[in-house]
Amino acid sequence: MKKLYLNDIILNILIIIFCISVPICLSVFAKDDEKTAVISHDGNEERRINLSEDFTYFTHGVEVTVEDGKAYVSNSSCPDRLCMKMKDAQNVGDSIICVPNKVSVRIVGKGAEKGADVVAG
Amino acid sequence: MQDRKQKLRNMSLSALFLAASVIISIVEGISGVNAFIPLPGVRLGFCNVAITACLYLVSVPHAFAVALIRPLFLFVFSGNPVSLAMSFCGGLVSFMSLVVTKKLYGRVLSFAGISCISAVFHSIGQIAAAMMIMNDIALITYLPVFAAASSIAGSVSGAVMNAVLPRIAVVIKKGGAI
Repeated sequence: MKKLYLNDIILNILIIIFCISVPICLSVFAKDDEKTAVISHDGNEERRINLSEDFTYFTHGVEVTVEDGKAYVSNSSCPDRLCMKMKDAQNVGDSIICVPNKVSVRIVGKGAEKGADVVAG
Repeated sequence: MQDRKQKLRNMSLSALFLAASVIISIVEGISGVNAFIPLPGVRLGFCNVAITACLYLVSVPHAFAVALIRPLFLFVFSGNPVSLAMSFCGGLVSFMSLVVTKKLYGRVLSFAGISCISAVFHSIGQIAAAMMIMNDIALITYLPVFAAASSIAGSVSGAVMNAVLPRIAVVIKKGGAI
């Protein structure tokens, strides 16, 4: 049994290393200066806000604030308010999601496409 | 007669494990253990101990029933349809991974590793459900963080399984009153 515990620990460490390395590899390839917060509801894009400007946008029960190059949810009508506790989005690829209100805030770079071509799964 | 007794026994055992898994989930929610985890929305998931116990000590179909009915019971208490869909999908995917990894138990991995794998699949299933609800692919950026956090939580509850399940097995094998 002792040997198996070692296997478990190795497996867990491998999973964590894999999970950490994937986003790091992706962020190395995605280098952008001009960042935009894309606010969507139910998969439909609603508004783009440049992160360099200060702005507050209200949609479907979620209040999104862009301030000092960061975007965060300042108020929400959802019951658990997990979106308000999420980390501020400031780098390309970061996102804040409110599942009950179906609102997502995503940071995209300059060269990023307008939206996904195909959504699989 | 023996066969009927066995059937009855399996049914009551799996009902017992279902009750245990629901109670563990509720107590976990009330006790505030999850507040110690720095990520929002990540839970320890000790209820997986009861489902794994049912899978290893009763049978695969019984454990499948437990995994399917548990989210419905929790829905009665929470009344949140979004969390119902998410825990339903997560439970389904993680149960499949539990069945597949059952062959590895005792040879390659102990319960800690098996529970770690199933926890990762649970977060994959949950994020897939959230992606379907939101109709948005951006959620996949959360997967690495959630998978890493839940693999640690899964290993913790797997360590609990390593301690608890052999003892439950002894009691069940002995027969008689449990």
